[in-house]
Amino acid sequence: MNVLIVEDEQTLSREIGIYLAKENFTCDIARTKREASEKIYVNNYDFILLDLGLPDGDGLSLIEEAKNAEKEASFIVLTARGATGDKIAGLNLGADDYLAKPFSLPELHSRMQAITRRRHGLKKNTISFYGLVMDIQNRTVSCGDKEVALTKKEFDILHYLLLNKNRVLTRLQLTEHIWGNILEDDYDSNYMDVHIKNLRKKLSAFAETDWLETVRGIGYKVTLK
Amino acid sequence: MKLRSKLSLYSTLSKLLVLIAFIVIVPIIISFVSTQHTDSRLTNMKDKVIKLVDKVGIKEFLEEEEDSVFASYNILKEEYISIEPTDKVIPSPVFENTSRIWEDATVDYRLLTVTFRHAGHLYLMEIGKSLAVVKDLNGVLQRVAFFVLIISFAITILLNIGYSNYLLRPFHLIIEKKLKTVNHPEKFNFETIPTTTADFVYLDQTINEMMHKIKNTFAREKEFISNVSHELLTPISVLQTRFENMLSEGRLDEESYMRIIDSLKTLNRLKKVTNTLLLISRIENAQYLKNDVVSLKDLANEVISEIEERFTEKNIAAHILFSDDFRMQASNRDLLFTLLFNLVNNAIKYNKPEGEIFIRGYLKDEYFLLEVEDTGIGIPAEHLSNIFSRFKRVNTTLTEGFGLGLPIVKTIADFHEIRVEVASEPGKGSIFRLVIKNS
Repeated sequence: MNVLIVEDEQTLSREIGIYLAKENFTCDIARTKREASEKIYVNNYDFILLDLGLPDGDGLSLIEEAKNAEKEASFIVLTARGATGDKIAGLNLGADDYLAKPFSLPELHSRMQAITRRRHGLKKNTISFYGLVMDIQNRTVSCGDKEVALTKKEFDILHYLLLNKNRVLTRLQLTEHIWGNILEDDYDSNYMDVHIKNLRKKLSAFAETDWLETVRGIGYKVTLK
Repeated sequence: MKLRSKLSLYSTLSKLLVLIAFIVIVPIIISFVSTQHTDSRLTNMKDKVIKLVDKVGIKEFLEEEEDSVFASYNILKEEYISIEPTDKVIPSPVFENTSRIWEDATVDYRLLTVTFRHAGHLYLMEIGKSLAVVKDLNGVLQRVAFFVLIISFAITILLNIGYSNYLLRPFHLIIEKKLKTVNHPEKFNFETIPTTTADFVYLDQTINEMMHKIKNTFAREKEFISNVSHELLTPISVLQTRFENMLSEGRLDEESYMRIIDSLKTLNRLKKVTNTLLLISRIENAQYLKNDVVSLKDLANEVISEIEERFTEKNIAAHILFSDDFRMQASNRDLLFTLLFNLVNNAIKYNKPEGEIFIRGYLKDEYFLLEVEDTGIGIPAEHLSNIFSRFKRVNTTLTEGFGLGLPIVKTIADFHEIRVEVASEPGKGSIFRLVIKNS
């Protein structure tokens, strides 16, 4: 899949590019609105990651421009301005999602996957792993015809780990995904461990759980071939 | 009380006072004037009679005999004249009210008594005018006077109220259209209020100028916040993504790995502080809408379910006790959530293991009170005044937190015009009480 990263901060676009490349995205970078406009016109992108504050103007108009040129790209607005108005304006103009900077790379990746799923209908709406099936639409995990009773948070944690499979997710990344932007100052809590412990306990009644690894001192990882 | 009402009341009361004074004084004046008038007519008549006597002689009136008396009155006894000889001189004319009996009827008269000389003899003359006639006239005069007075007072009062309303209308408009919206510089109406009164024009202009300044300051502040936000969050963003990439590349030895994790934690702290300060600035800059209607009971339940693992971890029991629910109008749901979340989070953080938390909601007088009580370590009295200030941590021995939870609470509360009260007893616990006006 092709991604255009529209971002004037070069180091940031490079880091995003490195991460996405490993997830098999082909990344292109534009540093100004004009450059982005040209690239959107010439190429076909699946995703356009759009920073709003560009040196030659507000990036929001690019969304309309792309729609007018009948480009099918999905837009994710990335902004550090954080003004509440930006979000509303962005989503009204047809952006598919919105992420406030600083965001974590796994978070960006999972948002992109969610958009892909929405775009390509509901064809692949389940994830199968080790004899278990996760139904993303209905938010259930089942083993055969038996459902594993997970809480909302347990489901979200497992889903996030599965989306970012074969990568270590730090407690912080998981915490941020689950609790989002609730401003709280416990930056090193072990609540995540409690959730993972419960999750393992519930899943172990149906299957082995050694694929849900604890990476000591860092976080968790789901290994999936 | 409004100025308009006060002015109307003042003008009505002052007119009433004048009216009462007139009602008391007018009869006195009228009777004085009519007495004067009667007296001068009597004097007139006396002069005429004396002239007549001089002309036709006293014999026309009096017999020759010693005690003969002349008396004449008209048939309704409204006036009478009597002349008789006398030896006693009355130095000046005497006016008095007196009664005379005429043919079995007592009649009250205004009486003029004089003595005069004619052909060497001294005569006493009395001229009387019936007081009934005078009083009748007085009555009529008084009634007319009262009627005219009351009508003219009523008219002037109405005119006064009408005119003062008309005069004060621009002032009223300034209050309604402008002063009531000063808290929202974005929505302020800069339209000139039409008036010819110089004072109001000046007032209107001054308010507009002030609001222009405030609006500009607000806009500059907004711009500033937005720039600071960009300048601070972009580098954090760069560092975070770089560290995350370093982690995921897996080329580091274990020690470097741990150091990156630590750096990410430090960076996260920086990010939270920055975001918190930006949040506080944005709230103070009125960048949030207040369009939601929030059930505080639902909100409390939501906060509890969002944070339940913390209760479980410390084995703390949470009790939600709402004797009344309260639907808060014109509020921002996300901000109120953050407010309550911070209070409950603190109640857990500073609680003892196996402690309790009570979230109470109830109506009291014209207020709705929302309390978060814990059984924790409490706050010493000397620190109570500081807990809402930024970057002042009360208990420095605690490793958790960096003291922005309560400033957020205060800022959001202020934004919603909620008063925050704190009661605390060290070692026993604290109560944070939100006092919300029930309008």
